[in-house]
Amino acid sequence: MKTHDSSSMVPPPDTKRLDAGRRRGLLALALGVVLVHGMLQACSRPKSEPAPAGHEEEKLVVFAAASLREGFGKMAEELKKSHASVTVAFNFAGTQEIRTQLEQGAVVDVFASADVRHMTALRDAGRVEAPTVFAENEPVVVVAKEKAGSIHRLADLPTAERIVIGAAEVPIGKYTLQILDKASRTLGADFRARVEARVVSRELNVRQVLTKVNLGEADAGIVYRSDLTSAGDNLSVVTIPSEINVIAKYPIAVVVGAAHSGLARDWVSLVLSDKGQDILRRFGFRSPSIAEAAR
Amino acid sequence: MLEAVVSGGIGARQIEARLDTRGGPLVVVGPNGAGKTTLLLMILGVRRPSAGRIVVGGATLLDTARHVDVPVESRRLGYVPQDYALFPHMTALANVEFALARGSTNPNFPPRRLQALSLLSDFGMAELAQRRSSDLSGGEKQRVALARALAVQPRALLLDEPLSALDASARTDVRTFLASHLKRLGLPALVVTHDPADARELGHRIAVLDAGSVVQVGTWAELRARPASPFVARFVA
Amino acid sequence: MTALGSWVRARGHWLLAITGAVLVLFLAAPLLGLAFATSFGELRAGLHHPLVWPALRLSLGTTSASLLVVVAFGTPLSWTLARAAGRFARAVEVLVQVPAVIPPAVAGVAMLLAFGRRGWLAGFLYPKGRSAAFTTLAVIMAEVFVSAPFFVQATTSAFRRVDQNYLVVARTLGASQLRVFFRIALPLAVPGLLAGAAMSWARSLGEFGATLMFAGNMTGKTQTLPLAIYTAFESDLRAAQALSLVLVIVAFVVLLFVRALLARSAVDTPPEY
Repeated sequence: MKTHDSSSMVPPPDTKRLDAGRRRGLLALALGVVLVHGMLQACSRPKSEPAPAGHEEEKLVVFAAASLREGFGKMAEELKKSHASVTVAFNFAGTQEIRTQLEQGAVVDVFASADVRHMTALRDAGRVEAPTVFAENEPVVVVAKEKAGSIHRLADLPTAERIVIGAAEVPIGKYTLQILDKASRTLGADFRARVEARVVSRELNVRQVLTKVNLGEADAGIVYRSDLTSAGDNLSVVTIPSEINVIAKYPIAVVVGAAHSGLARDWVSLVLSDKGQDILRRFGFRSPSIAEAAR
Repeated sequence: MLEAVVSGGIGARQIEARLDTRGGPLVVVGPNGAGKTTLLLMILGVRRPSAGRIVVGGATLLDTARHVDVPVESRRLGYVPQDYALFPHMTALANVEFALARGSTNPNFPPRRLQALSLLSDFGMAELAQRRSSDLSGGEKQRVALARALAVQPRALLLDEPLSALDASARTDVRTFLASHLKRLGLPALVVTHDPADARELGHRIAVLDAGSVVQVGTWAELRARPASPFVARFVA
Repeated sequence: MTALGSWVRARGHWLLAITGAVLVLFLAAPLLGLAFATSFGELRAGLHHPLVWPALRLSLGTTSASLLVVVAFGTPLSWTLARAAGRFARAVEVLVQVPAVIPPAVAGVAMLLAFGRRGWLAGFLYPKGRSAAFTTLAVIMAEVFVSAPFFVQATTSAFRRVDQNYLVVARTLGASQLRVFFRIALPLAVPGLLAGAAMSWARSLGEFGATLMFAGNMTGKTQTLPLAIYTAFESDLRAAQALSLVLVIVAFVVLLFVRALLARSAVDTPPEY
């Protein structure tokens, strides 16, 4: 007849049972620790597993910035032609995320970042071997189709009602702010302020910027040229003048202590080869300028 | 007087009954699943029969032929369900006052609290007025439930298994108390029970319900003399 | 009964407790990891991070508002669902559960498709052309969307558990449907309601994906604490850890408070008079 209320977690006001219960609970917790520890020991594998050479399937683990998804995907197909028994396992995510995962002990063979800063930090910490810039990516302005008529040039950007850019903490956001600063030299000292007054969101991921402009929620945004290959026709593109633009440099490096270092170097060679560069260009990237490549 | 003719029901619970409280309280008995509670709910207005007519104290509460159907809250029937259903989050006093809320706004009328206390004291429950209803004994609950039912100044009283929640020792005394009280109030009364002792003491006549139909109506003596079915015979034995 | 069987039988209590303990450890381990990895100095520095206070204020403000909305609209809905029979009611009940299953980012996109500039409700809702996206209102909308299912589920169960007899008796005593709801059903269902509200609030406090997609990420306007954490994460892992600890502590304190409230209400609810 009584309502069964949900606070049945309340222990009955019986102190003797309470003490026994609490003791049991603590001991159970302790035994649980022992159990879990035991299970983990049983499950863990030795840290360095030398890759068995020969005819077995080999797996190459590549961590790469999200914008490289399509390009590296094609690159993997290319690798299959010369290394038939190799599968490439990718982890595409924001550069900060993959860097953290690597630092926290993820098993990785190759690291490709959208940003020199993160790679330098990894290099200084001894986590990766000497990096090479393998591609460049050009920031562009994308405009939603409704506004395509009114925004033709970078100078028109402040006329957009809603602008979405990357957060200053992510590479594209950093580049965007640098571009806006450079633009202020020629388009008016308050250019950056005028643009920022129209910014409604600072996304954590360049694909989010693209999505919002694509969906028409934002009038304009700044993304990489490589992102356009997956953009569809809902957008129009405004090129940023080269004297104002800040080009993103993508470095790649073999991870120190990689399980498949030979394969890793093969991958890097492929990426830097003419075939690899060709693939990247098809997806909107640029080959590194001669000065970079020689470094 | 209460007169009811109803037929209908939901799914397997179909009932077909004609009864009245001529001469005194009517006790409704029958095996489990006979439809006793369904019958009560139909008279209360909680269940709707497909056809029927219910007249209590001269007021027509239901007449399907003439499209008369007084809503539950306006029928003014005093209901005491099995286990009494006293609102557990309220005191005994608050339970009774809840029934008075629809009362008169006449300033000369005594305030609700006084009315409620007076009703409770009729049942000897005035000292326990502030007790939480979940802290009362079975017998005390029954009395508060009765007081509450009477607070609406009902045309009739409907009691569902009024004594089954009590332990055997309390039952005899409470049964006597209830019988005398029903007599004193003089209201038409319908009592559902499965206990032959209740039937004998509380009711003037007994209606036996089996599989949804009334198989016999009569006084205890009449049922004893000429039982209409084996169940009746066993009941009055 | 085999020897093993009787051994197990005798220690039934222990086996249950240990199984439970394993889960508790699993849940506690990452939280402890957060606590161990953050020194007091880092926690203090984290509290001074420029993103923290605007985000904390925004989170507390929006989650309070969304809780209010969820409770105000969810309670009558739960009451109706608890008492309604039939296929339509069951279908509605399931529909209300679905937002809990959708990945939050997808929920965010879906909200844009409904309430965004080009959304199918845009013409109806925004005659002047400005949509709700990228506003603080959008944060509240996203939070309501993802947290409502938890409240409705718990509250519907709570109303179902209220004994029908109380409701019937109340009606016979002359009470209208509304009075029965407010004076009888609601008070008796309050513990379940409170628990549901706590769960719902906790879910909206941690809400990230839908908010990011639908409301965006602007400090002071739409950057709730989870978004601030993720933003900080992009540049400074330590700051993100400190902020996460702040979030965990705030949530823990509030939920503990609600639990204590529930415990008290069960043991010594004062009678109505």
